[in-house]
Amino acid sequence: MEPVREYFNELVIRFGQGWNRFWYSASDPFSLCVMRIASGLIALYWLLTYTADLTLFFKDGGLLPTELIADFNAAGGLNVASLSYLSYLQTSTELYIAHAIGALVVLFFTIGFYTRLTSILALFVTLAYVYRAPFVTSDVETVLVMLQFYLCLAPCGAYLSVDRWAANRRVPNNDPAEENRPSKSCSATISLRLIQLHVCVICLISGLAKLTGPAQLLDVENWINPWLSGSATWQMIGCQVSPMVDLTFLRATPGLIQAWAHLIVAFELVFPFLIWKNLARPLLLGIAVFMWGTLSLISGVAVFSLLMIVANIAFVSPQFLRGMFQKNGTSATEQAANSPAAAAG
Amino acid sequence: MADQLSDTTTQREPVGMPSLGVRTCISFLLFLHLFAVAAAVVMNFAPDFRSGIRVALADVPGLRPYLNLLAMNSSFGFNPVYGTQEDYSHSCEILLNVPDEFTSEEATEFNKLSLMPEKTWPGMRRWRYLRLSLMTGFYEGDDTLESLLPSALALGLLREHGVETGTHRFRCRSQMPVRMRGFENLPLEIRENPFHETYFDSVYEAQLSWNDETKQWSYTKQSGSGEMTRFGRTEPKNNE
Repeated sequence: MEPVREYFNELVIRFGQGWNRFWYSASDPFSLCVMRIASGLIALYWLLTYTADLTLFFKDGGLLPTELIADFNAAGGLNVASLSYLSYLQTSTELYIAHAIGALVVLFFTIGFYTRLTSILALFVTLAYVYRAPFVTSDVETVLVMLQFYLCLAPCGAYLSVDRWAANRRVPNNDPAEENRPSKSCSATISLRLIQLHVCVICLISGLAKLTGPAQLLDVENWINPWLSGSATWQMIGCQVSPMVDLTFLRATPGLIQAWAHLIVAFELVFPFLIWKNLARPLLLGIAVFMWGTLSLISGVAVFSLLMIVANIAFVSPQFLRGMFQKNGTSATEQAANSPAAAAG
Repeated sequence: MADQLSDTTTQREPVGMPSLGVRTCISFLLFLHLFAVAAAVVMNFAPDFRSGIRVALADVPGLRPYLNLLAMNSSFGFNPVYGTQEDYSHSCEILLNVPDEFTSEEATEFNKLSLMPEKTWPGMRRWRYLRLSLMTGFYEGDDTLESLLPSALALGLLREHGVETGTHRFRCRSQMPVRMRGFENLPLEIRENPFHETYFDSVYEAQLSWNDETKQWSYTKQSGSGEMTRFGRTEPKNNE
């Protein structure tokens, strides 16, 4: 029995050490800052696209009256909460004022102004629209809210932000290396890990969903899985309304269309397992950008694809991202900070 | 093994790691959150297959409110195509002042109000209208919910356009994709017009009539998918 006891002791200890390393090793929040800007811009676009339909959807007597949402919630027909401040606003003026304030909050979050506060408020604004109009929400909002929630947990305003600029101004420091030295943080690691795990869950479940088919399938005998038959991509290409570009000329190459469908499923099933391998990561991230980019052309949901690409930034090393920004000449001071001289100092 | 064990326990903790108490609290919260995400996947993935553990998870106190609060009560499975009628683009419209014995073939004779405005831009806006149209028939078969959304949309659309009386027909239609194989064999008028009537299929129809006595609209469902079955169609009918 002694070897068994020792084995389990060691298992517990090593698991604990692995858990601590995985979640609590301090890391550079630069990736999260880049994600803040990218997801903030997408959230701002997403919010502003409500402007033209704001009163049509939400005003008293509009297409989506508050009673409708209340009835659905009472019957348990919705999977979201019902706490939106928009439910209490009925006139066009009230709605537009709230909408403008919401857009301002998201803008502040994007530029990193009082980021700790505005990250939470931006999430609150996004959720208000999701709760108020669940019938027009889809996977776009699921990923957007996921990103905003996890960014709330981290110092995502540490770099590339108004907060950083203001902090540098408040504390005069002639040493640019000191100003821009990465301030590693444990909360950045937790946020990055949560995003990474969630992206893996999305990819894995998306792949499995394509293999299992839909719920409530009535005519099972006549149903053919379009992802296994390879016709799924054509069903998107052939839609008359959704696609961003007309690719119907690809009907001449059915093999290509079928291969495209199979590669999407294969990628989604492989990604969650291989993305943790250093050697495979750059390749998988490159394929991810290509896959989500091309999928957006035919599915018509460019915002979702963009959000998935932004979420994948969680797997990119902060040093690599810093290098990219330096090459673009956006931060001369950070160049100095990472120069050999600064490192020696 | 004991030596190895003692070696591992004396390894240095990573720099910047929080204290043990803080780590314990955060780990507990992480466990709760990850459990909730896993439960959301289990509860929502392939909901036809009901296992006992799903029912048990659904009853865990606070789980659903937490997931609903974060809008995470989802399987997180993004699947744009299922091989059913759900994949098609849906559109909703109201045909104005139709007679009681209205048939779909006569639809072109009537003025209509479309849910999605023409040339809706940008793409995210268009996507919302398509989503709204799709959801119109989503709850069909549920006696409590099936007419709530279509009637709200229909009445809202009439109010928006200042229509105050008359008898009108609300309908939701799906539009089949153009076919891949045998496209060349189709009549020229269908090949050249991707919005030809043959691509459309009725999903849901309802009659809206103004009642002068009660001063209210009456809303009567005329037809649903019924025999058409919204799910289970693998190919557009013009592929036959």
